Amino acid sequence: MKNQIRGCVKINGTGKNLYSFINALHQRKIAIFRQYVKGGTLSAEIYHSSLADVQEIAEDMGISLTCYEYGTLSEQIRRRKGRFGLILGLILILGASLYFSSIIVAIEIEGNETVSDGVILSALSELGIEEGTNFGQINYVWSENQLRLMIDKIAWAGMHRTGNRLVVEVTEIVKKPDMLVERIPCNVVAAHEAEIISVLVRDGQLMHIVGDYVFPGDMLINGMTTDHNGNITLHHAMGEIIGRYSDTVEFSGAFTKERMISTGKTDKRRRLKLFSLEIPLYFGKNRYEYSDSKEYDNPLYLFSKKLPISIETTEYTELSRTESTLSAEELKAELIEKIYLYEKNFLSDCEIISRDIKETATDEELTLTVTYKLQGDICEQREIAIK
Amino acid sequence: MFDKLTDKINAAFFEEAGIHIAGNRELILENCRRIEECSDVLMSLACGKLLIHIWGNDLRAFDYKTGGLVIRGKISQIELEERSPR
Repeated sequence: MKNQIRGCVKINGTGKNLYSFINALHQRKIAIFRQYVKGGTLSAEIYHSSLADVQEIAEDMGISLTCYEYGTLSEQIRRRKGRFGLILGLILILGASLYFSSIIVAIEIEGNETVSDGVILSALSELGIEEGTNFGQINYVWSENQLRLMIDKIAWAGMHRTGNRLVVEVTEIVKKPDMLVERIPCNVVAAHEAEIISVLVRDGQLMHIVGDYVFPGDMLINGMTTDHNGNITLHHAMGEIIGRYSDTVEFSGAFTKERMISTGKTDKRRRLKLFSLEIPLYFGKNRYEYSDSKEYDNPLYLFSKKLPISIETTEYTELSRTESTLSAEELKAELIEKIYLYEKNFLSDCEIISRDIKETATDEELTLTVTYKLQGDICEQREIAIK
Repeated sequence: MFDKLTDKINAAFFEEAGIHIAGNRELILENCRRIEECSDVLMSLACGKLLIHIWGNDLRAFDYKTGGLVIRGKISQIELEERSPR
């Protein structure tokens, strides 16, 4: 390590007065290592700083000296001492490190659920705390109190510094839950024309049993019961009546219609983001009449830490309104995709026992009629009108 | 009479040859005045009234500007020879 810093030079000396030379080095107190004489040649190592003195003594004593410097850190630095770019870069890195260690690089908000990050950030911004603010300028106690006063939904706020990040911890006010009016007297009626498969009554009186066939609007669970004395009790009828029923849905599409098709032309717009500042790296506006855009961010990382410097790219793909004619197979595939989406969105809470797809085609359009056999809850609540 | 006085002064000021040996790998020598021989098998060093011969293999001398010398290598024999003062 010492040699890496001071630089180490290997010397080989030959001549008549070799031992006088060795003793002269010893008397002049020059640090010399690994010295030995073999075949009339002195081999040794010295520090780079002693080289000039050793060369002078060797010259005085008529010693022929050859030198070789090992590749050490100091040798590398000495070799590059004229490279001002490197020095400048080093100074810039040091400067940037010092600068970024004294300012807020990122603000992290913890503990918020109903109050959005944006609200807290804008409140902090009003207090003069944002990305790029010097940590020394922040009055933590005052800012915490102000933040609490500015946002009503915050009960407590705390701030602390972690490296070059400002962590804002908040505790929100727990709102008193609203009284839910869930126990309104009601009946349960059938929503579909179905055959009852199973029944489960939680409140009220069951009106049909398993195996009965019911029509839409038929009462399944009665919310009004009468006891032996003629007293009427109102219930919020609840239960789970599973029925088997059928449903028919039509999906149709035209063979020829206008569709938005990509022309293949793309345009990339980049912006340099420095903290909250956005610098566009392009000229003009998006010249496409119809386009689809995709946005992605490439942040800069240093030792796996995300820096507040990034390049944001928006990629526009030009679309054109084109009238296209699809073949029967292509249109059918499009309609099947619609059927899949319908089932995923509307029939996810019931079981599909079977589906029958009938295809009807005209010159202009194709229609798929899907008849489902479904099994699911057929209950529908209906309020009891009371004076 | 004069020699005895010189010896006492040398002893008082720690000017005598000091030798410290660590195993057979390292020998530290204090107050080395001159190097007589410095090969990889024999190092002859003049220290005060003594001429010290160190025999061994792959011997190397290290001078740390302390007026002494550090000999490293495989030391096999050390000879101490009194020499006439110059």
